[in-house]
Amino acid sequence: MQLRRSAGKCVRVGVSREIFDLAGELNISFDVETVRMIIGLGKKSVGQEAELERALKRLEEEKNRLASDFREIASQRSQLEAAWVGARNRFAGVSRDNRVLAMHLSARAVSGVRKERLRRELIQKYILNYRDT
Amino acid sequence: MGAVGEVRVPGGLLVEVGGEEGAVRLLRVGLLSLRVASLEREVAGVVRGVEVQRRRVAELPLEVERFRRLLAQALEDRETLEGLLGEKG
Repeated sequence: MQLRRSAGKCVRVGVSREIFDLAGELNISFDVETVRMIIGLGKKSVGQEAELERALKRLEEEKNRLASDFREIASQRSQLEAAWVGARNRFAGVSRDNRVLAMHLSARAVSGVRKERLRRELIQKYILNYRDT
Repeated sequence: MGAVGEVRVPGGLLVEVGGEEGAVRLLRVGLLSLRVASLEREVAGVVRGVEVQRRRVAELPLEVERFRRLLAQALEDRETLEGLLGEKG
C-alpha cells in the first residue's frame, strides 16, 4: 500500500464514498484534529462494526417510521386545531354580541324578581366578569 | 469500495493504527459510532415530538367540546338578553 507523504507530517489516505457520506450526515469536516478524534473513537469501537451497522440500520428505520407517525399526527392535530379555532371563534363572536346586549340591558330596568335576577346575572357575566377568549 | 477522496492523517497515528487500511477502518468505525449516537439523539427528539403531538391531539377534542358547550350557553344567554331587552321598560 502506498502512503503519500505531505507537508506537516500528515499522510493523505484515500477514503470511500461511504466515509464521506457518513461525515456529511454528521456535518463533520476532515481536518487533522477531527480525523484524530474519529480514529480515537474507532479504536474504542473496533470489532463492533457489525453491531454498529445493525444499530444504524435499525435507528434509520425507526426514524423513518417515527417521521411517518409524526406527519400523520401533525395532520390530525392540524384538523383538530381548525375545529378548535372555529368553535372558539363562534363562541367569542356570540359572547361579544352578548356583552353589547348586556351593556344595553344595564341601562334598562326590568319587571319582576326573576327577570331582575337574570339581568344581574347576565350583567355580571358579560360586563363585570367578562374575559376575551 | 474505491477511494473517492482523501483525508490527511498524522503520520505517527498512521503508523500506530497499522497503516492506511487500519486508518480507513478506524475512521469508518468511529464515524459509524458517531452516527449511531447522533441517530439515537434524533430518534429521541422525534419520539418527544410525537408525544407532544399525541398529547395535543388528545386534548383538542375536549377543548372543542368545551367551546361548543360555552357556545350553546352563550346562545341561550343571547335569547334571554334579547328577551329582556325586548320587554317594554
